[in-house]
Amino acid sequence: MTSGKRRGAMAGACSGRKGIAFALSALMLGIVALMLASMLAEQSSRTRQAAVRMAELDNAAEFFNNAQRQAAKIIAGNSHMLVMPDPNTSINATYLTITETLPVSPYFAGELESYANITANLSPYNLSVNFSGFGNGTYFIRPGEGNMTHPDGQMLLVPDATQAEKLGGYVIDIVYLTGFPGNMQWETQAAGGPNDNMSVTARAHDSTFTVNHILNATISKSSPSAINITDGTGALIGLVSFGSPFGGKGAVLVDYLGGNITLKTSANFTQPLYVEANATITLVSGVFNRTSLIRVG
Amino acid sequence: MRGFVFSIDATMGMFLILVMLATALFLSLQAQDDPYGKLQMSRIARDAMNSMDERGILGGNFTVINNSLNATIPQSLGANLLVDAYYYDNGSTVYINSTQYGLAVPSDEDTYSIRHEFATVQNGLMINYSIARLTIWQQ
Repeated sequence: MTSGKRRGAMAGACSGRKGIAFALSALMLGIVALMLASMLAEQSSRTRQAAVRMAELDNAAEFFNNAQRQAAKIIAGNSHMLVMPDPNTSINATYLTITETLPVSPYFAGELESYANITANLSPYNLSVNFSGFGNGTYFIRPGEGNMTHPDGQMLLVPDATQAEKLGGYVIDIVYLTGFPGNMQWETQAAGGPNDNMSVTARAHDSTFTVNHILNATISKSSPSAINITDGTGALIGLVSFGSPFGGKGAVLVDYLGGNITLKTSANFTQPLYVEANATITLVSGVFNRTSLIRVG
Repeated sequence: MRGFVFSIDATMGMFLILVMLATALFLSLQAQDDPYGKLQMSRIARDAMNSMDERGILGGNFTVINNSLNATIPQSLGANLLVDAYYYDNGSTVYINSTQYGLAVPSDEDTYSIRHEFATVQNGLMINYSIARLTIWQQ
């Protein structure tokens, strides 16, 4: 073999090996690109699934929260609860104001029932509203077990023991929608000790302020005190009672004795609070199951 | 032999280019179809609905709702609101009517919808119960 032929054979073998190496590297690059695409696809699929679940959770949670807000709106049509900062100290969520017309409208229970039924009928979720424990208006003052009820034509607010300790006092405003309050005076007034005091402002007037009676006092949270409201003839048309035995320390009871009144009760606490109606909303879905009382303030 | 290697080589190169093109196309489509973007649009719509409901605008008159849609939804978005009203009577839910507000929903854009239910209460009475569907899209 001449040296020229040998060189040609060597060059051919070398070129063949280069071609195979190039083909192999191209193949490996292709495989790596495919693996990368596959990983990205899987990652993207996971992201999409997470986003879909988050959207489902968003929808169900928002539906539940909105159902609470709508129920609270209907309840507020009769008893409006407002929790706001104390006007004197500006401490957040310590000042509770309840504005309501008494006696409770005879249509109120029907409105709540209609809401429960129409929501259940139209809801895309398994949603139920239960007002069976609500009666004429039963509310819980949280945190703790304080409550506000409407037994036999009265309004009774009973803070629990911890809330009573932190109760600064009440402002009671009674508007007589029919008739006039002729007089308002203390029937009994119990003075409290240094850790048992609360300030009370009580006002009785008609809707145009033709007559306006105001009483201010510092009284005991524990011992009973009472205010009588009489009409022009001296007949009793209202009674406001404080402390035991009407329901416990710091309690207030307003008996409107069958009259027609708008009652605004403000309670000044030193701890933040919120109010729930004794009615439950339950939502059951694949991603969100929850039952809770209806928060109204 | 050389021609055969050349063909194999060219096939491999073509395959590689196709794989890269497919990957680029896939990534490009993924970028366009952002699931969190959809979530964000839904949240914008939901915030607008809650805001209008809290202000007592839903259930109001045509002009007020249209103005509120313009004021509440970002300017780069179009919005359409459809409200179906019902009332409850003697155990059954009765349909009253449907009302549309805002712009017409385009057929050639991606749209995002949310559903919001609300009660209209006057003087302590629930006048009606409505289902609002707000649809928004990029303009």
